[in-house]
Amino acid sequence: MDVFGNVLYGFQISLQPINLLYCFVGVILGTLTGVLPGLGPSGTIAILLPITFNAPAVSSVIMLAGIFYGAQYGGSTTSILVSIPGEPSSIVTCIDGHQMARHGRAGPALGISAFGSFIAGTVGVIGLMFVASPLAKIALKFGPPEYFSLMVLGLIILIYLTQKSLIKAISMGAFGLILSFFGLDIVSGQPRFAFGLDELFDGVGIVPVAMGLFGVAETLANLEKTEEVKIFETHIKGLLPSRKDWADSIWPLIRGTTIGFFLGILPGGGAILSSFVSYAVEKKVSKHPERFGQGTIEGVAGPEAANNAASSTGFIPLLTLGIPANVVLAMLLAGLLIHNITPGPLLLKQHPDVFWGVITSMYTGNVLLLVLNLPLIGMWVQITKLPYRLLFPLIILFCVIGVYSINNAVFDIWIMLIFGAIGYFMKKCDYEPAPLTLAYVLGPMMEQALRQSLIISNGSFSIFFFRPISAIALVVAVFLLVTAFTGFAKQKRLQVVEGE
Amino acid sequence: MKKWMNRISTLFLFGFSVIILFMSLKLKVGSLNNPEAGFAPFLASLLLLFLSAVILIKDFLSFAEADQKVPFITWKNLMKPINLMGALIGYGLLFTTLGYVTSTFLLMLAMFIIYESKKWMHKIITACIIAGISFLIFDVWLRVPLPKGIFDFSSFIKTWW
Amino acid sequence: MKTRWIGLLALSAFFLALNVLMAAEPDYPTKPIEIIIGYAPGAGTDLGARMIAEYAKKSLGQDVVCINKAGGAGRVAMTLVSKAKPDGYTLSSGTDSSIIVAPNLEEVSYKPLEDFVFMNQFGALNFGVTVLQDSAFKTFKDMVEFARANPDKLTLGITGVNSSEHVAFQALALMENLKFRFVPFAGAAPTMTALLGGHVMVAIPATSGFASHVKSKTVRLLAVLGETRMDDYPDAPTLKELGYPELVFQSWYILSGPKKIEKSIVKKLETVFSKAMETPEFMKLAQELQMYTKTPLSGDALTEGILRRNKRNADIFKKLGIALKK
Repeated sequence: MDVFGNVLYGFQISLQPINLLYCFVGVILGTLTGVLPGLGPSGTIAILLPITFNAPAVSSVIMLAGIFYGAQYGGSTTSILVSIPGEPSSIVTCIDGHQMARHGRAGPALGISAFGSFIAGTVGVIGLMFVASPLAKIALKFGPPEYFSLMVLGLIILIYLTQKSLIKAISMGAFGLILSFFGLDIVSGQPRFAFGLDELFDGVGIVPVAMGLFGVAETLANLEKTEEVKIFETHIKGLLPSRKDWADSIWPLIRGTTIGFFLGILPGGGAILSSFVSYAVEKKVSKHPERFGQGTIEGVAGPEAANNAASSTGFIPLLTLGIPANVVLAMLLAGLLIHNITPGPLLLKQHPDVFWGVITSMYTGNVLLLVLNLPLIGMWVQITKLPYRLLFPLIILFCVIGVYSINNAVFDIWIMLIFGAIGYFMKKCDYEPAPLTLAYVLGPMMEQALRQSLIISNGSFSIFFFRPISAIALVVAVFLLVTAFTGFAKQKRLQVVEGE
Repeated sequence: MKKWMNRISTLFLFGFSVIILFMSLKLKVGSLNNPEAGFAPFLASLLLLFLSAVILIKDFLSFAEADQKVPFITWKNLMKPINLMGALIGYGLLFTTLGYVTSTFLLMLAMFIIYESKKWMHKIITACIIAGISFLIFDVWLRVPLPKGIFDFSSFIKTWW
Repeated sequence: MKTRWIGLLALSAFFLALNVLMAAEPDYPTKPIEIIIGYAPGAGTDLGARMIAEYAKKSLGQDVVCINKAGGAGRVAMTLVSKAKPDGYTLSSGTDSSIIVAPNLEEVSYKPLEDFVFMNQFGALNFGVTVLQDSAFKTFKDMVEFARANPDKLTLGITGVNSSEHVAFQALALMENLKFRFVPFAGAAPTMTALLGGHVMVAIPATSGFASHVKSKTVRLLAVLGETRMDDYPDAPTLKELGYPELVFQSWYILSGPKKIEKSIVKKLETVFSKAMETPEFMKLAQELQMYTKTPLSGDALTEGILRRNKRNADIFKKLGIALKK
């Protein structure tokens, strides 16, 4: 197959001024929706879909795609600046990214995030071009048992996210799991833990919880501290990553990209999972893991690369098989259908212009995003200089609007407030929000996969071990679990020795 | 102080897990080979129960009080987060009746007052500006549906536009 | 200082009063209409409603705003609308499963047949029985025979518990004395993914799920669950033809409102919505999303249809033993 011929063909299409314009609009909107917490890409796309009815097919898809991966860029901005995840996949960035901002290093954090996303996104697109088909076939092999084992692996990984007490982190994970089970049970169709409220029929929702735990709780805690403790160190140490930053980040970027590349193909949770996995990997391979959580650039570079690579490869199942990996891509699917384009194996044959046009537009999109975001860094950094009495009302406002705009429900605001209070107390008592959030995201998928697998296998657990992918994942999970405990035991022993 | 806070929050987790445990039993737990709706919540709440119990026990057994370089709660400032919560609760209650613009204005005002006392006019004007601009961005430009309430500013603007 | 305050207050009061006053005017509609969509953006109920809203906006002269309130498979939205003021400014878009399926199986916070006025049907969702292209099942009968010979072995992917197709096959199992293994997924997409990966033997998604795959010949249709054969898939027999006339299951997309809306307003809306569905843009959308229906019902005909289907469902559920004990 003449890939290069196709690529040239694709660029001919995507570099047309009209398509560049659509791409530009798309990535700007995407960045905006990513930056504004809660206001997700799906809402934006829904509003824009009617407009695309009249636009040419390729252009609309280019724009919609731009919104999607643009959001990944924007999501990290608020995570770094105010520790509020703009997108679920940026939750991990809150941990070290925000700490960097507090030390006056918001610029480098944003910078490495932008560059990392660019590199990862580009690599992802390259992958799309060459290995889309075979990768898609591999993705199909992931059935419920594989998902279960993968989720178990993911949950074990959350142990690595903790800076403080291991046992408290696990209990936060358990708490998150329980919360995730609120809502309609997929197998029995019964509502669980709805306490009689219609609104709790579908559970509590990740956005109100995340906004509450990260945004509101943080604000409450900051308000309560003495005024002498500055929220941000005002001496800004440079706007872009330094040489050393680059040197430190190169391997995390590479690893993050690889992780995101492969995990992104899996429908459901690709980007989120890859960002968590990347963080854990970086922490494990780092020579100074105890610095994670204080603002290490590896903790930003890796996850950011991962989530962008994942959002690129997330297109693979959609374009090659017609299967959307998440809600946003489902909207994209609807958009394609409206223009009489059926994604799937026929897409390449029937509409090569769409396929290659969109893929090459992702290159241009990534470039545009980099160009857009870099100058903005200066502006974003200024925000950290805003006096807190002006900043925190804005933060609160964004949280509230973000939460309300999901389902136009004041109820969600209440959830956010409840979790704000819970988060505040958790902070005070050294319970961390990140394991809770990860468990909350993985919980439903894991439980679903477990029950589906057991239905398929008629109650036999062997299904998890006789299928190769699943078995490997479980073995790795056990290995990690064991090393985690021995590692912590060693650390504890060292601490005790030092303490005496 | 920190010790007590720790105990209370761990107790909260413990209590929560007990409640969920019972509710999962009601949902039918099923067996390992045939899990029912209550299976996973049962296990998770069991885990949480166990862990929070361990934390509580460890806490009661340890005699050393961690030395506080930073005070646990700055009592002087405690009113601030409490007031913020109060303001937010009020906001939630009034949001739909008063509509976005009015309630946001009030909330902004409240938040400025909470943080520090400066000039009144300053606060009112900034609150107005923020409420107004955010309204323009979100409702008019991004078309996010925000409640109108009894003061319907959006049609007001639309007719004047 | 005092005068400044009084001046400010007076000014604000003036503007506020102006606002409240400006609402008063006679003919419907005098302010924006809200359609509450019971599903997430991108679903057929969402896109269809938005399209209709665009058209309605032009002919009614007022904004028609669509708001998503997804949850409980449409239940949250229906609950809200059942309690809304019946002035014609709050309407709902959803599928009729929240009327004819869910209430027969469990408690809901509204009275399905008494709290609503059903205005327009704007789409119909069909379901199909799909297998992989190279599956051993060449016809529907093959599948039934396999299930008979191997009880409790056939894995069927469904898009949700007690969804239309699930109910249909539960009824089938009852009629033919078979035992199926239903594997539930969260919607059509994951169900199809599972089928494509060979993790289930059969999948029964709505057309939106299988359309592209059947076209690209990776998947075959053994049967469809509609009233008549589908134009796009003339080779797939209906379950009715195969000898199960009661197993006609379709999901209707409907626009409804709280019961007591004034008759004249209802009539006006019904006409506007019907016209909206006749525009080429809407028809194209409906075709693409595979929710097109040739004879959309409205008004009394729609209500009658819903009542009929409701009764049918209630009977089936009773036979299956899963009906809600009222």
